[in-house]
Amino acid sequence: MKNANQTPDYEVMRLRSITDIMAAEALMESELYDHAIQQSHFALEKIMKSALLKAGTYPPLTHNLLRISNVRVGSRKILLKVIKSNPTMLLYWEKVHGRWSTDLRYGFLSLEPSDYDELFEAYRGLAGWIRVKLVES
Amino acid sequence: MDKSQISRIIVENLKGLEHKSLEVLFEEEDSIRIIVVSDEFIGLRLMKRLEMLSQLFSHTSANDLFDYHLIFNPLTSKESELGVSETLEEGRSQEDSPSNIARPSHPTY
Repeated sequence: MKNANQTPDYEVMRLRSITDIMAAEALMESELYDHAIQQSHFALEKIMKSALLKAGTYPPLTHNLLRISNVRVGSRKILLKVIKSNPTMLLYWEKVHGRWSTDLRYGFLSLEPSDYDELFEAYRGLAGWIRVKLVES
Repeated sequence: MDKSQISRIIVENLKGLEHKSLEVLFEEEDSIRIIVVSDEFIGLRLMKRLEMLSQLFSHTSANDLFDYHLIFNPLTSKESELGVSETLEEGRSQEDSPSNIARPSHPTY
């Protein structure tokens, strides 16, 4: 049974997402690109789950961002709605999934350091946008 | 909206890009994979290719196809046929590319 003074689950996830982004930034500075992107993915995943928790819906146990974003609160996909409400965020979202999908299917397309910079910016931008719009609002 | 209508919308959006082939696959999680083969991608990094396609579809993605995820796979003809990367900028070969180009890992999907 939960203590009334216990930090809400969504807040725990929000804080973890922020620390994941900080870790990712440090990894990018160290040119550990793969690790940085993986950490960024976790940051985005956690803030998406935090938003669902705050809206009163338990998120699915998956790392798949598409599945998480498809969760409906009432009749609405609240995460997808907030992502698609801003052209830059939509671009970021499609970069994240385009990269994963293209890499999984056609592994020969290497990423250059500047690709990693843009990908990291996409993850960080999305995480920040969702945090502001759905968790901290 | 049925699949043929969606496919028509996708073809319409790609009119701004000269392409050799287009494949549209309907996948799980309300995702639509769009495999575009175009030599306009030669010498472009993957992120730039994705940006190009995302911009072509930006209005549609936020409106007609709001409930869907568009997943772009942009390839050149050579990449499509031979599996050889042409993402590096013109004038550079795979051999003289920076040593810190890393292969992405993907343990989370």
